[in-house]
Amino acid sequence: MKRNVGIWLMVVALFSCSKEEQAFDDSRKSYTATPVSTSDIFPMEFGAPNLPKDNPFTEEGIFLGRMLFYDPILSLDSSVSCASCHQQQYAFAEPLDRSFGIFGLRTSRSAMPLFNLAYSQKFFWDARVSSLRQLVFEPIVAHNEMAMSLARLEERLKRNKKYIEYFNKAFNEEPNLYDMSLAMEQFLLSMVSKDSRFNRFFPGDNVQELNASELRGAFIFNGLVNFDANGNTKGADCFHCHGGEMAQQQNPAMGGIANNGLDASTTDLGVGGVTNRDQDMGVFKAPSLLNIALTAPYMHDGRFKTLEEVIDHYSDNVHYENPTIHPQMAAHGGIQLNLSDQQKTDLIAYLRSMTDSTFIQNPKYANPF
Amino acid sequence: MHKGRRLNITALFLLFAWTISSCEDNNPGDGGNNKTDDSKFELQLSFNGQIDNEPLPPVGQSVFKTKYGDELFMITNWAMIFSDLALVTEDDDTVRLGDGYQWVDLRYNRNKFTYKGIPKQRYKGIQFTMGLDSAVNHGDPSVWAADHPLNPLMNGLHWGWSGGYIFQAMDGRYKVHEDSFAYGFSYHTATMQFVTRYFLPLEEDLSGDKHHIAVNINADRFFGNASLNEGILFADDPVSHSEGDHEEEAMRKFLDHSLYGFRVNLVE
Repeated sequence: MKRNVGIWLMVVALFSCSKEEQAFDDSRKSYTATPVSTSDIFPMEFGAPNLPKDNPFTEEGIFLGRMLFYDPILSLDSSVSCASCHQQQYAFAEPLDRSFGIFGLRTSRSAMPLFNLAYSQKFFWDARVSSLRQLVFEPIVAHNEMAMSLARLEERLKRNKKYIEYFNKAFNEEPNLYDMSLAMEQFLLSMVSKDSRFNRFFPGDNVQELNASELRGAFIFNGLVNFDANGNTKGADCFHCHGGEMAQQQNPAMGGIANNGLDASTTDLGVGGVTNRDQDMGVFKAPSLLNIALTAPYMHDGRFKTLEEVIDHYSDNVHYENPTIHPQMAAHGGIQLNLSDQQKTDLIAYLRSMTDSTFIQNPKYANPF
Repeated sequence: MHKGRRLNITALFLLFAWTISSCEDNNPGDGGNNKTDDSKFELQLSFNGQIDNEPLPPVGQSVFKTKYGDELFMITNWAMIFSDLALVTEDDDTVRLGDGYQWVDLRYNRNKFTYKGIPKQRYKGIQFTMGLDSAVNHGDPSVWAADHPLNPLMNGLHWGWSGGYIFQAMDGRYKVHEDSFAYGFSYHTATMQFVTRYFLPLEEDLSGDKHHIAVNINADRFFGNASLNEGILFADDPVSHSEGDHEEEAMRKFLDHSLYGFRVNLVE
């Protein structure tokens, strides 16, 4: 009798199981994710980015990634989302030197802005991660950010009707961590900032886009350091680390990293903390300067509150004695640039022309809830 | 029981056969074309950065080597863009390697390239141009595919402001003596006047199915030849970006010396 009951229960379990799978299969068949062409996302003038070949863009994938980005369900106590520290009005940075995670814990560095990530190959201030699908897990599990266990997160997503529906629409799968990372990768890659006046001016053809001060700033920004007999330089050589249409260091092999002489000796190891190499100590990712007027405070530790303080650093206070300072900065012979007040004003005016106000208002990147 | 097992085996066989046929469908370019062309070979071409005939010290390590004028230097970044990369036959015909463009990064191991379908014959040399022709150099850099050597997002060698590519970038630090402060140096080759052609003698019969040519590039020779008592001192010229009278003169010297910096080291 007991045996019969056991067999009967197994049969029931088998049928109920296959019935459930069948139902899920049926629902999967009812959805076909809508492809999104890369040409609809990425501007021609930026050139062809090297995109992951195994994660084609779909409307549903991008939307799912956006939902996850804004959803505090990703954190242990459901209080912190990615968007808590990456806020659209600040070009997805935030106006803090260090961010707050759950329980009021602080991060060790400031939140980097998020845009044009398709054109970078290394992420975070210490360039420790080289893919966005890998990146998304870092803040989720960090004890002072979201402090979430991945197993618990997957369970949460699997129990959530909304996510069951949207994972199904995007990937024909029930919620799982791998597809979560793909969806967030799609959303992060899709965040493109390209409509500043600087972008319309670049590479220098449309001078009508800039006023006189901004134009003078452009020449200082893109000019080489070359001291005249009076010790003045017309150029500040900003473009080697912040050049091109995206105002960022473009050498992907080097990861777009540099030591910009913030300190006499290393305080935060930066990239060196990841690679353990002499020359990487105190080295950090050189961020894009697009939207720079929106992303104060500046540097990895938010030590400069204004653009004026930033320019003062590069003009007057660079620690050339730092052993890992970028070679092109150290090539000036350890002499401070000593820019004039007018040069500083012009440089800042040029930097302000890099603000893309459409990006920070674009509903495609806004909170979907 | 036996019948069931036979069915299972049959099912497994059918699944295997279906898998195989599916694979063939997915790779139509590979299927049915297993013939090799006996008149062609596969070439691996490698460029090896060196200082004084020894490999560059590992990336990230502060190891200084001696150069002209007893200055000490280390290289943190060294990359170059080639065009017209080709093997040269005895009849002075050229066999272009790929589309002739290549981006070499000697510090980050983008220095080995494979080319298939090269005609088997005797070659007298290998040629390349450091730099690009004017149309390409000043053309729209956004036209290149994501994985093409001339895509600026890949090579990071496009001089966005003035237009055109940086043909060669060598950066690093130098000391005038062991205990001195380590200043920076930066030699960036750009503009059409500095496009430089190189021809390296080979004189080899490349008739096997696979060959490897290794080209050594000695950085110290770019700065002068001690035996000729001439060269570039970083203390005098730490920077050249190929613009301005003084910097142009330094770049001219740098490129003149560079002709002695390339050498075919290995053919096998």
